[in-house]
Amino acid sequence: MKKLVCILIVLFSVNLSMAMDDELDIHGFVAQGFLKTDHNNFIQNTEDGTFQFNEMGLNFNTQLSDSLLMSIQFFASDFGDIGNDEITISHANVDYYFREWLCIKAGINRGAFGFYGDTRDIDMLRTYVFLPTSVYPEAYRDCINSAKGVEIHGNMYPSLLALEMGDLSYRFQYGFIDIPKGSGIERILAKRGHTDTLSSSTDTSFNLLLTWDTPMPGLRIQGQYVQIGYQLNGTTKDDIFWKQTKEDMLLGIEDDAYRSFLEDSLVITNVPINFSGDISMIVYGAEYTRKNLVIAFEEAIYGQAFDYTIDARLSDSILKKTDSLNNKGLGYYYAASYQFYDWLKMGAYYAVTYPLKDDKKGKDNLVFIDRPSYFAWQKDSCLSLEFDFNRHSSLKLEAHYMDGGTQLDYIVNLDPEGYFDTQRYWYLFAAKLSFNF
Amino acid sequence: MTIVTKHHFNAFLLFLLLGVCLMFPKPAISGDPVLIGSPDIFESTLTKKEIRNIYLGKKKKWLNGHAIKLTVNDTPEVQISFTSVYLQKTPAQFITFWKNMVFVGQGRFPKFFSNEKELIDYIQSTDGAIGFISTDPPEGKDVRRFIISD
Repeated sequence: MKKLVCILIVLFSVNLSMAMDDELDIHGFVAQGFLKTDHNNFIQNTEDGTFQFNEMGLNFNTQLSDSLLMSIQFFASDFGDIGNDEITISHANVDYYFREWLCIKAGINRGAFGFYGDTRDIDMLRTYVFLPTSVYPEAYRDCINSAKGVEIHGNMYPSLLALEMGDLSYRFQYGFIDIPKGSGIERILAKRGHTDTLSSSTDTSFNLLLTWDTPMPGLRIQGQYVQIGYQLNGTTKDDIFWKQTKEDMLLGIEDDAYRSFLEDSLVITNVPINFSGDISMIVYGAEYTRKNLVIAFEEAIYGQAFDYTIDARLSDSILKKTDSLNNKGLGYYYAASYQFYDWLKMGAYYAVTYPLKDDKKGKDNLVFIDRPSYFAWQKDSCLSLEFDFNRHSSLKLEAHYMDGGTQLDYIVNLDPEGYFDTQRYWYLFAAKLSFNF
Repeated sequence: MTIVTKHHFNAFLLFLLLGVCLMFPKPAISGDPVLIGSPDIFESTLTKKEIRNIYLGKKKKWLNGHAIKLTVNDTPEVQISFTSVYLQKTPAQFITFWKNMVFVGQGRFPKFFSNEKELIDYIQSTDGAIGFISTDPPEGKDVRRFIISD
């Protein structure tokens, strides 16, 4: 990464000297937040209140030619155990404008995700401290924010029988999204598979996002499909999930002696396991803006389709067991915000998350066997106030009333007893001060 | 004993009315702003849709191949009028939109001018520049005044 940063800085300097008559634009932002919960640690120490919640970025951009824009942005953030203020490149690319309907971007690109996903690092661009976590889980942020590769994007203006049908824009991204060990997505998948991770790797991914600004002023509709190839290697945990899985495996065996032998000899805990498959995301929604009012709805379906192989031990031999894991999670929200004055904006949303959309009560799936059933959902009612002191600084105050805890173990590691120390109903308070130039 | 007198009730209504007025301020909107561009630009007429696409960073080049350089008149009345008529946005939404474009690597922030004379001078001397002002440009300024069509 350091090598890449150096190369980009050198390239940027060289290109800068070749830039036409344009100067280099520099913009930046710093945001410091505070989080407090009455029960449950949303991230580390939120029950006591924590300042481990900040973001900062520095952006450089210049017009290299009439058709070529170059932009690079350094970014650091801290969100509990994620980020830890390590400097990363959130994007570094050149964007070639060929036609209005065809532009090509290459380098490290911002990952397009829903209406607001590519702006989630930049606090001053939204009313809320937290985007609705049902569609924009904080734990996904470190992985899907950026992708190395190419992006083709553009705008078109279709018409039907001489009737203008609004603006249609597209973004197609193809490349590589890094999901390293310790990242949010890896942690979630490992927890869902009751696995201790040894290695985590990704294949190429693609992302298609279509946005239709309809002929009705202020109304836009969006749809998106993302697919990421992914492998995770690790060892199965020695927990009730795998013990129950073993019991289920032996249920179909009618020979009592053989079943008894397997009960004693077959070991599927603390053995190697390999997951290989795809993570997919389907996101769609609508947003309506009329003067100072913005109303939005989005829904996301998160799919995990994996084949997994366990190297089970039977006496002294290895018995490979292959099976498939198909999970679908669901998240959606309704949001509205209104700007009362230049300095005051208020927003509210109701966001619902189900990690397994076919088990909304946490009764049927083995995943929830070792935790309270309210880990099968999270319903978040949020009220937010934004005070803009001027164009460059703002303060946000936000309150969340939560029912359920499905995202409580996304960032904090909960031990088996820890799950039962949580509470179903809890409050989260957030405050954030932002500056930008 | 009447606790809520008519006087109290009238005062309450007055405060309520005042509160509603304050809550939904109606900014004064002047006449439509005048669109001007640098003398090198070939286009003489722009549709409202083209203006919207230019100011929302979708259309980025003129017919002569020069990159479009956006300027924004930072006089509140003119800005409110321009953003509402052509962009269907408030000035705050417009600025947020461009911060978004910059921080996701999609464009460059427009140049803001609080002085119209400086804005006109910049447009006159910068290839591909476009801007909006409150009235026709003064005599002697070499800028293109766009005709706006639907």
